[in-house]
Formats: sequence, structure tokens, C-alpha cells
Amino acid sequence: MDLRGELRRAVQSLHAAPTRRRSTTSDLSIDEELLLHSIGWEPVELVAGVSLFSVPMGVWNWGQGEITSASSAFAGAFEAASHRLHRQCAKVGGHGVVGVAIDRVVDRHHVDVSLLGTAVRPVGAKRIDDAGVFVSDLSARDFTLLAAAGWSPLGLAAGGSFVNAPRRSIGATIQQSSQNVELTNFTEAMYTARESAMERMQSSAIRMGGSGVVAVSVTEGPMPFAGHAVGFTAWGTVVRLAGDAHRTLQPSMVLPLDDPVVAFEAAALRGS
Amino acid sequence: MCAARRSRWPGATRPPDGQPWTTYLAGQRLAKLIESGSMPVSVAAAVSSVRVWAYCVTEYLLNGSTSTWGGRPAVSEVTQVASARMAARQIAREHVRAQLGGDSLHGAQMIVSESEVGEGDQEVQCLLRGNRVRRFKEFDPIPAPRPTVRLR
Repeated sequence: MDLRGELRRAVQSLHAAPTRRRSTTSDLSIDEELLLHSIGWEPVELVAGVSLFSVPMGVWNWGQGEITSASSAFAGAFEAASHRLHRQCAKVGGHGVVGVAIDRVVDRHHVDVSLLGTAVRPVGAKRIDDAGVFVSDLSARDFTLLAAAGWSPLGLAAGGSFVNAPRRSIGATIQQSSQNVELTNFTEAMYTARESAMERMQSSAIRMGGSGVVAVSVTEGPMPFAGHAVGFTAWGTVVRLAGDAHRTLQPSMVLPLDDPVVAFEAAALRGS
Repeated sequence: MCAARRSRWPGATRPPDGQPWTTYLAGQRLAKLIESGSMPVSVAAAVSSVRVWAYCVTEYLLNGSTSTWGGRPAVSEVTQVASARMAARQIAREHVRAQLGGDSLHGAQMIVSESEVGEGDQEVQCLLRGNRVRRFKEFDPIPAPRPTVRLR
């Protein structure tokens, strides 16, 4: 590689006006951009989708079973944010969004979801209909591997559930006092939340016509602002086979010879 | 005692107007960027700030109060705040786009912060920064990547 020559040519280009008519913006790294080009795709624009849904007062502390208001707020916020991202991608001429960073906040009175990613398209491709646009939280590397294996992403699926852990009876509280015992009310509440959330994510994937969900991320645990509520949220990219059959990638093995050298510590000479 | 000595890459070209180019990249990432056909021009950054003057219904919804105003259900989108957050991102993108002048923004980073002013009023700030790069040659055809498994 003649880096010096390339640099000279590159610096020369600063004297001239930019040649491209439409500029692009992207949050991809140089490696990711090269990977996309290797399969004939290019970044188009940085796109975002945001939504915020309200949660009514008092739902976190009283009641039994699922906190339906909070679960619906999560579902609504995720869907609205995803829809906006989808629409922005179609507007800028992208065929899909990759590397979507998902930020979600569950607060006492509202649920916020914000999505940020890079719209991409096959090099030089024309605008397509909204229905054909995909949204995915896969990195450009994962997207490239997925395409190489004959699969295509369809969209983001999410599921969330928030459940009240019932308070123990007075008898149970007295019996369990000063003992190291499992608080089954919390365990069962977590199981319920997990089952509902995963089921919702799977239903969403089925509605999109997908056959699987990859790169699933989950968050779980008690709500910091409500002592008797636990939550479980899950999201991932819905995929389906694009061709007739799955193509095996058959990776080759690489044995790097650059083992890290154990550093010499001068202080060790002094002894203890 | 040591003396500082200015060195110059032999044959290096002076940038236009004597303005040095700037980038967040260094080392192998910078080398890869140039090798792939893009030259860093400058660090580009833009900030947008959007103020939300909350309607009554926005304030009620953010406080968790059930409002009967406009027949809104208790679980509903706080559209005023959602629009402001979208606008902050969009304005920052437009501002940075205005600086590009036909170049591209690479490796962008978006940082959003929100502060509550009180009674539902909010200020949303969005910082967008990245490397402004100029293409000086088209992408060379790149062979399809070959997957490998690293043995350790």
C-alpha cells in the first residue's frame, strides 16, 4: 500500500470543491462502511426515532398481577419510535437501518424510547416503498454475515412486561423473619414478567412474517422507584430466510502468533 | 537539554489556505480511511436546543395525572415532548449538514440531554459531531469478506 502517495492525492483533493452532490451522514466506523461496500451497500443518512408514553400515577405501588398501563406504555413507545425511524429511513431513500442504538428509560410517570441508526441502501439504488424498509439493531458486521448466510432482517421486535410482586401475608412475614429464605413472590413475578415479555416479542416477530429473532437484548429486575414491582423487557431483530436455503459460511481457523508478552516489572527485583 | 525540531513529511502537500485538516481518527483508522478513498477535512459539530413550553395536558401526563382534557387516555404519547426530541435531533443534523457542503459526515456521535425546567417545561439539547470527510476516489472493488474464527 502506498500510503504516502494516497495521502498526497487525498490532500490535493482539499484544494478542489467536493465532487459528490449529496452528502451522507453516518455513525458507522470505517470498518463497518468497508464491510457494507463489500456486499454492495452504502450508508445514506443518520436517522432517529423517539417516543415518550405516559404512565398514570399510583400504578406501581398498588394492585396485583401485571401493571398493564406500564406494559402498554412500553409497547406504545417502542412501536411509535420504531415507526418514526422507519418513516425517516424511507424519506431519505434508505432501504433499511442498521446498527440501531436503543435507549429506553422506564420512569415512574413515563416510558421513553429513543432509536438512532444509519440508513443504508444498495449502492446507487432508488427509493423504495415504505413497506420494504427494514430496521435492525444488528451492527454492519452482523448485517454482512447475515446477508452472506442468505438471511435478511425485517424489523425490530420488542416485548415488555411489568408485574407487581404481591405483598406477603402477615403470617408468612413472621415465619420468614430472621431466616434466609427465597421470597417466592418476587421470583414468580419475575417469571410472569419474563414469559409475557418474550411472548410479546415473539408475537411481534410473527406479525412481521419472520422466522426468528436474533441479537436479543434483555433487561430485567426490580424497579428502582417501586419496591414491589419487577420488569422484564426484550428486543431484537426479526429475520427470515431470503433465499431457498441457509448458506453455511464455513469460517476458516486463524491462529494469531502475536501472544501478549508478559511485561517485566522492575519493582519485582527489589523483593518483598 | 533538547531542542524541538519541526519535521515535515517529504513531499507532503500544503493544505488549502494553510488550514490544517482535523479529525478524531488516528493511526490505523486514519490510514484505513485514506486508503478507502476519503480524506478528513475537519471535525464537524453542531448543537441544537429546543425548549418545550408545556401545554396543560403535557404537564398532567408527565406528572402521571389522569387528565380528562381532550379525552386523552391515561396511557398515551406525550406528543409535545416527543416532537421536541425529534426536532432537536433533526435540527442538529440539518446544522451539521449545512457545514458539510457536499462532503460527508463519518463516525458521527449524537449526545442528547434533557433538563426539566419545571411544570412540564423542558429543554432538549442535542450535540452531533463527527469527521467531515471528502471522497477523492471511488471505492475500489472489495472482495466479499472471508469469515474467520480466531483461536486463542
